[in-house]
Amino acid sequence: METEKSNKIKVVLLSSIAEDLGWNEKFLTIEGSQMQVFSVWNLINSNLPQDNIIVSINQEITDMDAMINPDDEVAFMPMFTGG
Amino acid sequence: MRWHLCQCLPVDNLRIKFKILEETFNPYKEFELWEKVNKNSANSFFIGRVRPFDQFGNDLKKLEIVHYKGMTENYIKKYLMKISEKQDDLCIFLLHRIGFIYPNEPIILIAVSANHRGIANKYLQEILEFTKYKVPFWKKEWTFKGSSWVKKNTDLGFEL
Repeated sequence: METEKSNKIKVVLLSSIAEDLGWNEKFLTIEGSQMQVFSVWNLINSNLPQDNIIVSINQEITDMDAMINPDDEVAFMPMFTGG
Repeated sequence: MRWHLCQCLPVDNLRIKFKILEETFNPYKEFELWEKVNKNSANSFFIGRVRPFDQFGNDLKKLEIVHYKGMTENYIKKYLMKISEKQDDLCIFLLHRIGFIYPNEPIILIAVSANHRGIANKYLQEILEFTKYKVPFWKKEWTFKGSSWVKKNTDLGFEL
């Protein structure tokens, strides 16, 4: 039996970005087969400046031009301050 | 104050051990245990503790560290494996706290051993800078007036 393909992506926000936007994660439905990271950022946001934001797809760092596929996890996070 | 000895998972072989901890730890006890099982003659270690003041100079109540579960662990693991492949006598031990940490409590312990001091010191410094700039950890400072996210890491303290 053919399973119906999901068209949802998981969006994760971390640290100050999660606090500024008031949520940590949510699922979004994308139009078509792919969506650019930058378009997701525009969709969820906000007036936060785009500078110095780190983005990842499926927990691998990428950039705002990368494409997201259904079932992917995209995350937006500020510069790291560990150690 | 609670101390505990961590149960670290070795990565692939016994040369790399790391753990992200939600509770405080005694870095000296952890180092002592680790040193017993590695036979290298040159051992370097670094302990980073919470300063008693925030980035604006106010008295600090506590520090909060958050991570991106899964990604943080994978980034550390991949990096440590990469550098251990470059140097076959290298043994690495890394503990990093998350959660609420109080002034003077340890945030990080890095221990590196090798056959020569230069190698141990070099990789100790490299691993420390890696955890500050390349791993998904974020610090939030809590004072008696409120809280604020740390925007950038503190300076190295000297020019490389």
